[in-house]
Amino acid sequence: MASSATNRGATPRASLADQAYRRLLMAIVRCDLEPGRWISAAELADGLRLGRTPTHGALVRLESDGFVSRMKRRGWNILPLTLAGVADVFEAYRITAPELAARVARNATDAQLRHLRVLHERWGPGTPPDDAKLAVESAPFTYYTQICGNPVFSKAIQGVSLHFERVMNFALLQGAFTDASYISASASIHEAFATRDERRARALQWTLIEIGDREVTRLLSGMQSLRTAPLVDSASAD
Amino acid sequence: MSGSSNSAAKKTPTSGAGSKADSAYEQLRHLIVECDLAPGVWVTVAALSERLGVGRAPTYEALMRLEMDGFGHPVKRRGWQVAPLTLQQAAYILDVARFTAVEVIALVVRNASDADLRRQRQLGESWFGTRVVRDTEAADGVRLCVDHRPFEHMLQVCGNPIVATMARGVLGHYERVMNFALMHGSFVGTRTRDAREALLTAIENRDAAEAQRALGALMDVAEHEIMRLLTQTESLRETPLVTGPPEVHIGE
Repeated sequence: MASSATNRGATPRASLADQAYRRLLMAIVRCDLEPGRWISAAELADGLRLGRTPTHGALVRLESDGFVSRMKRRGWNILPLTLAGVADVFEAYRITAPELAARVARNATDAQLRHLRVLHERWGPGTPPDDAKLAVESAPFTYYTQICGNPVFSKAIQGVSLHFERVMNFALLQGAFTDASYISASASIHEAFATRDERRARALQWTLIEIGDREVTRLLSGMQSLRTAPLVDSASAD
Repeated sequence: MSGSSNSAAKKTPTSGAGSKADSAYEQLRHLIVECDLAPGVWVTVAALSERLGVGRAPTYEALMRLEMDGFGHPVKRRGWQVAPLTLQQAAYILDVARFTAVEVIALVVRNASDADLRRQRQLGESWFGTRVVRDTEAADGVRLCVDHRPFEHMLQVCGNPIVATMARGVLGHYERVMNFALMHGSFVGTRTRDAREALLTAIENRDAAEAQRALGALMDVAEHEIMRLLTQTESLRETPLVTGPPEVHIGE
């Protein structure tokens, strides 16, 4: 068999696996599939209507991304948010995001910066839990990684950013981020971007992470059982 | 990007097909980072699967993952091209690699066990050592030294799996650029000797700030060398390495 035939034959399968991966990833990052939940590959395949092979492939990829783990006879587990796990996420974001902020201030176009601001404001904070489901769909953190002007950086930070986004979405859905200092710092960072002030953008990004870390840690510490922490009622209502 | 030790530990015996693809991925990634599969070279699934001794399906899956990592891409009817190294691409990589490595070394110094730190020092020494020797040695000498992979070890002992996964993507590209530069006759000169000694000592003494400073200084020198080399190289897209294995070229 010629290699071109192999490629042609495999393309549709690849794109189905890709679709399954993207949809599952989004569901996890948005906490539609909430942290700690157990699922079976068959159940997911039915839900996605994508067949078991691409769904299984997607789950394997998500496992290596650190979003799910599998256990014999129990199926797949959406990784719960533990204090230790969240600390790793914040540490990784603290290393990368201030550098990202500086490059966004330097390289993003004015239109991109305006769009980022719209997405970020739509996301929250201060969003009432009822609207939070819609808010998480604006995904400002993902867009943020894409406008830094360095594709190698965008790709590298993608995974960290998705973990961070999941944690932040989780907190938002629990009604965290009513903190006034977060709101004022996020307004300031957009001003720093608009004025191309790299140093200020870097510093404000650091501040935002500190506030986020504090809020999320407080939230998780307050929960009795982190492993099985359910989302607020509105999550399962629709 | 399944390199982090914690995800590997969770692998179950049921993942037989997955582990074949995993192993194909690791082997191919290694070949690309070492520039054994040179930048810009064309390969086919058939030739690679034969070379690795695995089936086409896992080879194909491995290539898809490498594409996601930015190490290459498929082109219709031509096969798969290992990502060429352009000046622009190198600039992107160096921009991210410096702060990433400097942050990771601080984590290593803080989190790694004493035994891990000693190992880190050994790997660093043999890696640098061979590299300085490289100046007068044949390319085979370089082949041996890239196996020491001090960056890979750094990631394994840094203590944060999310940072490790992120940094692995970046530092893999960085290592590839470094290896490429070395094979084209660039070398780490005497200027680096002090910084290198300072780095290894700082690692052993768990002095995070000094380790960061020294590693940053080393990478600055390397960056200067790499950019000088790439600026001189006329056509980077097509530059084959002298040692590039002929069997992987397209046209079979």
